[in-house]
Amino acid sequence: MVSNHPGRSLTDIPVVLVEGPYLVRSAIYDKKKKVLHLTGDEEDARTITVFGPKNLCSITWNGQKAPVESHNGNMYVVSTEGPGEFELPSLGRWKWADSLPEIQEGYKVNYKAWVGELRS
Amino acid sequence: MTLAKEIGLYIIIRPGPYVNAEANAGGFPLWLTTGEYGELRNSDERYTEAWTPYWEEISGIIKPHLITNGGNVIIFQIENELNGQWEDIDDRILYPPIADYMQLLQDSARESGIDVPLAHNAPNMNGFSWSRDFSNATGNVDVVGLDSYPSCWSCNISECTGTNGEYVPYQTIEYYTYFTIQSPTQPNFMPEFQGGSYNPWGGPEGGCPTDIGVDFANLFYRDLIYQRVSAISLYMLFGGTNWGHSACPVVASSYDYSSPVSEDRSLWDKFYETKLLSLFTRVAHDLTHTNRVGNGTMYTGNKAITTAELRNPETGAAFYVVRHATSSSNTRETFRLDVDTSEGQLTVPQFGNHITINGHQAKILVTDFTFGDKTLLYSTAEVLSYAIIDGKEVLALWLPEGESGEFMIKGDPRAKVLRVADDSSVSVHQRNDGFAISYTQTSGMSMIQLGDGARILLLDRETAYRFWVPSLDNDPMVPENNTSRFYGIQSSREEPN
Repeated sequence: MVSNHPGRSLTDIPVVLVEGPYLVRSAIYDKKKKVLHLTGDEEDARTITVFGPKNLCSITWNGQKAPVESHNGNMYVVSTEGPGEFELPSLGRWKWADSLPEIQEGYKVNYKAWVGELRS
Repeated sequence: MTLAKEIGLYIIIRPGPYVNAEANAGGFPLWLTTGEYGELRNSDERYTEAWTPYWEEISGIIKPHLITNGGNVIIFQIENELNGQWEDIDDRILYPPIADYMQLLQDSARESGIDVPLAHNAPNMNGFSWSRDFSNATGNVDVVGLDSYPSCWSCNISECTGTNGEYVPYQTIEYYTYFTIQSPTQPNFMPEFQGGSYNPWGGPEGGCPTDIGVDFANLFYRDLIYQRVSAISLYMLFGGTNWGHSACPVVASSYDYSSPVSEDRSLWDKFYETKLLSLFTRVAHDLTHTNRVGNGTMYTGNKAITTAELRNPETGAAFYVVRHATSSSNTRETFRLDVDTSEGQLTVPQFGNHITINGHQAKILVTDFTFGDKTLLYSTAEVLSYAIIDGKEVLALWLPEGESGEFMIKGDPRAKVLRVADDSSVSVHQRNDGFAISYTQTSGMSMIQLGDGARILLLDRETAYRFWVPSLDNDPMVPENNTSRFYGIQSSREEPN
């Protein structure tokens, strides 16, 4: 994106600035549709601030449109949803083998059971 | 390698053949350890015959991913933490069993088409091995760095006293002098710098994050820049889990390492603190080529503070790294800093309240820092990042809440301050060709709007923690659009020494 201000030679740096989330993973700008797609992680629903191209039609967060609370030039304040609900599956029935007989009470050392070290 | 390229990362690849890494047999196959191949890690023919097929195979796998072939592997490391080039260091008497081994590995890699810089990581400052600046002897690599864990690589600190001496929390180690002897024409490079510590058997539950947490990241990584280090790889940034029998018996299953990304992949404040510095170094282009033109306590009126002045000889931009003169100190100190700028010598801040170093902290303060069309003549707040969006600059600075900052912008007559969010604690000092602003950092993020559309963001630490600069493509060199610059590395392989 090259600046279209006459007399200014500033070339855009292909980044956006995002303030607020626990983690921002990616940013993709769909120039044709003027949509900025952000992905990341968040602990709670919150508003975040985005500095990006000034004529965006919308911003998405993890694929969902993030409602714009305010828009001032290249600064957008948008609402993001928190993490979705999910249920952990129950993990069972467990099978196991006790691999530490040595720590059992009543374990007796039988030296004959151990093979001597043959080489160092 | 392919996955790293997709997500926009370069790679320093370290195929060994011995890697240590608290891995089972240090990465060796167990059949190698029977004694039939000699002592290993030397020029013994039996060992050479054993590693050659692996080395040729792995080099073949890596070759198409080299940056020279359009990939993302920038450096290929030979062996790991192997001193022993010298029988006698002072008289430069070679020790052929190890020197020849290092040379054999390099020759084989080159024959397999590895044409990126070959590197090595010294385990300590005692070996003076493998550097083209130190000698013309057999075994030298293109760039040799130094590994260091000043707060110990293990939760059992007695493991480190041999290398580091007696343990003192937050005490830094001096490398600058060593680098001037060992590798003066090469980057000051830390192939492994402490990202945390491993937890050995019998170690404390949850590891030992106390002395190696947020404050450690803030102080020690800036102290490296104080010493003109320009390449740092953290060991570990993410440790994870030693699945199966991948670990050697010194550690158990957890390789959490108290690193910035935890074993369960969660982020904690040490990650965010590390990010503050790495966002800065990503945009501080002039930091890649500096001389350290001075260091000491004479830069401020406060003898408890020492400063290193790093200056880019081409652009004149400078970076003043300030910290406690006694590195382990955690006192609260205030001071003004004497700087040399394109407008002469100044003592900053000029108008507002003093610079603060509070606790185990350091700061990197810039002069003549360019961003877009503008120049920060100086700033007593740290630069976080900047972007150019729709042809206009957005600059982000950060300070701990309650501390005072001052910056001056020059070079643009249209840069008048239009609006300052809420803030009675902000004073504007307008000039003909710019302005200065002095302020006290409030909680959150405030914005200063300039007449030409540029914006300056002032963030406190907690807000800066949640500030991100994602790139819109997967080029790891964002925002630099030039091809990669490696001072002294790429060309040194071609030039005879």
